[in-house]
Amino acid sequence: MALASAAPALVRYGGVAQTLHWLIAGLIVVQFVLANLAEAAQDAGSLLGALTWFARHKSVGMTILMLACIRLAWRLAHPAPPLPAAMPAWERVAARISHVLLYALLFAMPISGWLMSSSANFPVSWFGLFTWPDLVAADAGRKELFETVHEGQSKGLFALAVLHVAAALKHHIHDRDDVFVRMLPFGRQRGGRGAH
Amino acid sequence: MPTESCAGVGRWLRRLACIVSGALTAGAFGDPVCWEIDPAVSAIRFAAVQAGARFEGRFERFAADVCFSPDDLAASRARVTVDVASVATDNADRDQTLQTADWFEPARFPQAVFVAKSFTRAGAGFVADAELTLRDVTLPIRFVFAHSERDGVITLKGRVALERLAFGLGRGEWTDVEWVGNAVDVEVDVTARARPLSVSASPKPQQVDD
Repeated sequence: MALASAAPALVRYGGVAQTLHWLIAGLIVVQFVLANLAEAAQDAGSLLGALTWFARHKSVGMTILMLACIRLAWRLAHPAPPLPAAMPAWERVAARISHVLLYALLFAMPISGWLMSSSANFPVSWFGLFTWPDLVAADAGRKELFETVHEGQSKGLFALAVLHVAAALKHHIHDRDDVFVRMLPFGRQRGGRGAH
Repeated sequence: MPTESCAGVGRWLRRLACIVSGALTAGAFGDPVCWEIDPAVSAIRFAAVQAGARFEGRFERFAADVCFSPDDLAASRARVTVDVASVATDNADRDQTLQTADWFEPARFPQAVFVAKSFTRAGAGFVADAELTLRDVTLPIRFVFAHSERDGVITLKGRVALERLAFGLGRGEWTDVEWVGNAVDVEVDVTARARPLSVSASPKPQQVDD
């Protein structure tokens, strides 16, 4: 049918890819909340409070690292659905760069946090079930360095996440294409800018 | 044998004096050898569990008055004083917390003191039944250790498992053992040289007047 070839059927991300995407997204929000609770406890002078919130932050962070490994492997084996044909080249390049950076941070942030914990002689436990090995020896100067890196990365991740959400909404509301819907288990196919 | 080097010494009384002093110097009667500890290669370490993960720390300053002989446990003795303000865990926040009134509070309790009450053999090693004072609490402990002496170099490796709350370590919110465990494993690793003996059979420890 001529109509079908003009508007290709909606191809969504698979169930596994969607689950990993939303699970990790939710855990990243949890991480920002836990880190802020820990720092608030620290500022209030409650070291035990900081200890407990940071312990949860580290457990969730290592969970994200493990999920990121699965997610990268899954993504390499299962290509993403194609972008709308009408999408300009600069948008494709920008999307590519921001996604590569987001993937990189899914690994870099837990690893810099892990390095920070190791250099602070605060080994990382995973929910009290087992302890991750220290990556480096304890060293106060090194801890400062990794802390700076980790905080810098968190600002970068926040900025990228805002851009990512804004781009998804722009595709959904302004361009009215399928870019956002492909990461949802529901939602109808949209016309897109090519359909106008 | 100390008698051999005394063979050439004339007059039986002088020869006897030579033999006796030689025997004392060599510890032939099992006199405890007193130790001069090498702080560079000796350590008092501890490990505890915090938020589910084990971490290690150490006390960087301690002094010991130890005279020990496996052949004369009854005359052996050990008294170790630890400068608790020297506690170090490679984490500034934690080290500062350990100096507060909730923990070691060295401002009020500057020293931890270990005094051996008796020594017994236990398998290939030894056990010191001792009293340990942390803060203002003194409790009996059993310190298990291995001892060796070779070419005048003495090594001791020992350990004892403590419960911090029994000594009042960790007050207020820190009495909760969910995030900071109660068990603390202490490990002592000492390298020493035999202190040169005077003719005195029971040398006094070096005293520092304050």
